[in-house]
Amino acid sequence: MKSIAITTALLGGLVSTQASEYQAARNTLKNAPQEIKNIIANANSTYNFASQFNRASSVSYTGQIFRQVLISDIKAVMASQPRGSYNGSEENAYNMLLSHYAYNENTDLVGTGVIDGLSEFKVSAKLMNGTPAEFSEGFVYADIQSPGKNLSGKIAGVDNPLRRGKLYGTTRAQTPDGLIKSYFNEFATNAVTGAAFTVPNGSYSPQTITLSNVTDYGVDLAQLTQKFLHGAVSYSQAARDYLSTDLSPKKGLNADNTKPAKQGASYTALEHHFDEAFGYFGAARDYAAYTDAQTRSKKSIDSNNDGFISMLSEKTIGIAMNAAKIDFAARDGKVNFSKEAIDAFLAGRTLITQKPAGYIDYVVANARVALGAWEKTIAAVVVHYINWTIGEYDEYGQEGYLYTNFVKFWSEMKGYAFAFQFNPKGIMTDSQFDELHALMGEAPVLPHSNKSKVEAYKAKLLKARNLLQEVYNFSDENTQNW
Amino acid sequence: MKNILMIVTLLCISSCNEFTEKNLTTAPAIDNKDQGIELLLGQTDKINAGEFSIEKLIANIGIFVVSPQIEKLNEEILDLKSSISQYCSSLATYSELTAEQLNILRKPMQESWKKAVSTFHRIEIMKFGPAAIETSTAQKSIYYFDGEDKCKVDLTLLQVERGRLPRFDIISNYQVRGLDSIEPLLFGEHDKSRCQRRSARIQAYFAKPILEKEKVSCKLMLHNLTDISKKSDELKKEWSPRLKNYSARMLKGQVGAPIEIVNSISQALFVLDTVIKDKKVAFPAGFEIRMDGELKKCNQASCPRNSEHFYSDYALESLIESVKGFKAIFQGIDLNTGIDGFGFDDFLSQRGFSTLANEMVRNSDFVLEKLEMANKSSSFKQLLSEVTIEKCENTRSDNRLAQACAFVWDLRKITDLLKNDYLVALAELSAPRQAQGDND
Repeated sequence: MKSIAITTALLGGLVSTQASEYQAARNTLKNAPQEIKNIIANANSTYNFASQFNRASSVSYTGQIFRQVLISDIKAVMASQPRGSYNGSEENAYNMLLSHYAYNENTDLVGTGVIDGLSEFKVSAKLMNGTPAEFSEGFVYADIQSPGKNLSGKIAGVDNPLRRGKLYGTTRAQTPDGLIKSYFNEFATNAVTGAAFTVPNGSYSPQTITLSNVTDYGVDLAQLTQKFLHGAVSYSQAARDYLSTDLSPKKGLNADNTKPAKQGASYTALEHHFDEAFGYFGAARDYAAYTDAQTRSKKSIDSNNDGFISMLSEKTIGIAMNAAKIDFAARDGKVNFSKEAIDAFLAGRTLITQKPAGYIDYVVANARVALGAWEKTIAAVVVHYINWTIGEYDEYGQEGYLYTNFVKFWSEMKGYAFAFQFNPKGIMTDSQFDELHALMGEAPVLPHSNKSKVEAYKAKLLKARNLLQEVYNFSDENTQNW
Repeated sequence: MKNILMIVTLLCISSCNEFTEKNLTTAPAIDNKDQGIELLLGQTDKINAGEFSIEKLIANIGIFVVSPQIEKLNEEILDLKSSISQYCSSLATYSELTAEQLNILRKPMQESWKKAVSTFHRIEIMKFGPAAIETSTAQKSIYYFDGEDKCKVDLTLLQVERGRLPRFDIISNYQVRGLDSIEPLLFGEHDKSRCQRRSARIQAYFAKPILEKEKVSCKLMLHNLTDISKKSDELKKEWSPRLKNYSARMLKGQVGAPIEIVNSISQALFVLDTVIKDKKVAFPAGFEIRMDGELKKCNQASCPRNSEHFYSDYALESLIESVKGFKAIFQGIDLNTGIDGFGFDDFLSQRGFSTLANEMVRNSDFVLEKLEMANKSSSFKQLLSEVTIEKCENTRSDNRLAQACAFVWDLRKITDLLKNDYLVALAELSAPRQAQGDND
């Protein structure tokens, strides 16, 4: 009891220290001069900003959307491959995934399902009336961007340093790149030489598992891969790079805001960095105009009324989608992470465009608030999947139990939970992170295991949930019901 | 022990029942098992003489029905390759190409393509033995129909333009290989993509000068023809009496017991049901069909774009050839000479079901007649465009409000018998998995 009290006290201290970065940013904005407050109050309602140098838009984040598409598609590919049925060798199957991760529009990789610039992407769109819509950019990767971008060059630890020098939360690999490749290798083996297996459900019929991404030890490789990439690429790039202030004078928010970033560019380096972070957030330009219900439905407003949905401006993808889902599911009605994030992005970008005196401090503050909302969203999503994993444990032995759901929920939880280490100034401390992952482990106790082991593991998950609740100050109502 | 029992059973099948006599040749009949299969192979003029036996059915279908068509396809593919090579070489003499010139230059290739495709559709139904093996001598590599548009071919053209030819060694790539992938390049509009979806890159490609695009098409066509002729060579090698002689292997019992072989040939007849009727006629005509285990229906009254040979408008001819292929197997007809040898009609007659055999032949002839009549004045694309939901719902073979829908009912006259009476009569045979549980 004594040690628990000490731990709690220590945690409380750490929470307050770390949380102060985010809280300080909020205070900075609260105490901003009236001129800054007026600009923020009248900030653009959509993420559209004219160029300082020509008549074009200054907003550009195509590469970030391209990566969002790769992250989404890699999951779709991994989640649809029956075990042992891949048409080719393990190397070919590995290449299929590698071609998404290390995308190259003229790839030399060989194998069924290997993508290049002229492969069709899988992300889809729906209009608000629910009918499927085409993307105005086209339907192959090179239509979005040519030559396109990759994930492998921007993953944490490759493009920027890791917060503690190595990857934490797993013993599978020392680096994010290594972890992704270990998932790929395991998937490739399952796809080529794997066989369907069965898992029990108490007195009900055993369930046959046929997909390559679902393992017999309780993890879903597709979910782990996608959710890990949301943290190790998207969140990492925004937090550790584009919205940072502790790198070189040309990096992040230290960048110049007076001249074109390069010859002929419509934007400054600072504008572009901010936009790139916004691209990784994944919101449609008019995200603020959507209700949470609309965003979570994955429908898009055809804002320019051209009959198409623009992948680059009208589609919400990535964590911006999760923010709306979390807001929608928040029972206490007091959570609005999507609004907190989009308001901060719009305010920060408006300040960059208008450049009032001393504006940089408030751009930085807005960036930290946006990242804070982002991190809280991730935390709430982890809470959500803890709840759903426990729910699936409770379903075991009943008609509604599905092993595939169990591994999916657990893997989404674990995959997202890696993200907290990719923001050098994140709210969660290193020790909290370590405690969280020690509780989650590297794989779950299987629902058909010994009952006492299951109960012990469920208790650990509840402890992990309590930790997140404390760190992010979530209400009881939300924490228990997300 | 099982084999011995089977042989005894087979001997009984061929000797204990009332014999069926073809009397097609004047050669002495092989009606004595002592003469053996080797003799049967050595004296092919006696295959279709005397009493029916399942060994003779196997011999006739292998030697006189399938092998000649495989040889023919091989020759026609070589002709097509030669025709395309000539065209591609001739492009070097042009500095630009007009649409009119293109239409004229395409004609010889189009004719060669039609010949090869016609033969393929006859063979399509003969899907057993080497033709059914998908890894080496795959029919799918020579021709593949999936009811999808040919957008992938356009995407491949863009790849070829960048110097990247499609691979077929590790990746099956069925959507961009085979005679079907050549079709849009020979018959499609030069300035219009086959992709229904919008892509600036594809639009930019199709806005390029004709000559430039044709040179790219040539690279793809020749690359594909090399693959097609290689696969056709493999198929020919398997069947050729001078090479791997699959017919002999069947007769020598190297690929299974006679009844197993007859069953596999019989199962090929069901291609008429699951592929020809369902995928090629019923689906584009707006019927709900079971495809790959799922019920599917096009989302309009009819879907011409999902029909076969959309670009060449050669669907009716192809259906005619497929029905001829069915008749060839069912009746044991050598399509080169027209000689009617031992087939499943004789098997049925031998079992005392000659009425059923005659009805199936009559119904096959009825379908052929209807298709040929329609082909004189229309095309399948045109017929599909005339389909309305109401017309189709009220259409039957004898009430042809929508001709395309009537073909489904015409084909059902054969396939319903095939799936029911035929299997009852020849109880030791079975329907392939895809045709089971589908009672139309």
